[in-house]
Amino acid sequence: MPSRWGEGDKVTLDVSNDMLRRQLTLIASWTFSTVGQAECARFVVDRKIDVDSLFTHRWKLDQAAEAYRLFATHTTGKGVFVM
Amino acid sequence: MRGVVFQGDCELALVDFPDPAPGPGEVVLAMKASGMCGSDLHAYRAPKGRRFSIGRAAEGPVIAGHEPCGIVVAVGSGVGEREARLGQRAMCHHYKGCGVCGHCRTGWSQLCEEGFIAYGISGHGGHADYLKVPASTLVPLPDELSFETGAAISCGTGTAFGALRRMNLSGRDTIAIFGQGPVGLSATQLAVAMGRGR
Repeated sequence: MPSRWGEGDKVTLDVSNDMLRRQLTLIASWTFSTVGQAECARFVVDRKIDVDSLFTHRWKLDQAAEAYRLFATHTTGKGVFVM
Repeated sequence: MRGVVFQGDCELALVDFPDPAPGPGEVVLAMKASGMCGSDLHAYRAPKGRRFSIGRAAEGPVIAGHEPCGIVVAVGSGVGEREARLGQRAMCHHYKGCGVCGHCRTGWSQLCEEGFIAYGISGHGGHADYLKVPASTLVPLPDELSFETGAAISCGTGTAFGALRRMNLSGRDTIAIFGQGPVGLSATQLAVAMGRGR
C-alpha cells in the first residue's frame, strides 16, 4: 500500500486484496470548515496543546526573501511572519 | 502598506500597496502573524508566466500568505457586533465563495459550486501589514492562544484536526502518521490528546 496519498497523487488499489479482504475503510479529508476551525481552537485551548512549539523560525516581512529561500530547502520546521 | 508577492522562479518582492479600507460586509485586520505553508512553495517555485492558483485564477500581483491572524482595526458597513468588533483578535477562514450554496452555508466556502477566492493564493493574503476580508470569514481567536498558534490553526493544524475528527479517533485506536512536517506533527500532538481524553 502506498504510504503517501496527498494532493496530486494517483494510487492504484487491488480492490479484492487491498480493500475487501481487509474490510478497509477509506477516509479522505481536506482542510476544514469555519466551524471546524473554531472547534480546533477550543480543543487546543482545552487540552493545552503547545502549537507554538511547531515554529522554528519567526521572521519580519522584510526578511521574506531569506525566509522562503530557507523554507524551500525543506530543512526547517514551520515559519511565520510576525508583525 | 507592504505585501509579499511571489514573482515566480523562487523570486519575491515586498511591494507597496494602498492601505485597504473595508467595503460593505468586510473588515480589515492588522496582521500579527502570517504563517508559511508548504503549499506556498507551489506559487514560489512556479515558472514566471505560469502562476499557481487555486479556486479562481489569480489576476495581477497577489499578496501571499493564507494563514493570517490579527486584530480587527476597521469594520465596513453592515457588519454586526457579533461578526466583528474593533480590537477583536481573529483568525480567518481564508476562502470566499458565493455565500449561498450548500457548501458556503455550512462553512465550506473552499468547496463552493461557483468557484472561490483563496486569500493568499488567488486574493490578497496575510503576508502584509493589513488584510481585508469578508467579516463572515473571521473565526475568533481565544485569548489563551498566541497569534502564531492562530495562524497554524488556520491551515496545517486545522487540517490535521479535521482529518482526526473525521476518523473519530479515540484511546481505543492505534494510529500511524506518515510524515512529521508541521501537519504531521500537529496530527501527532492532537492525536495524543484525543487518545488520552481529558
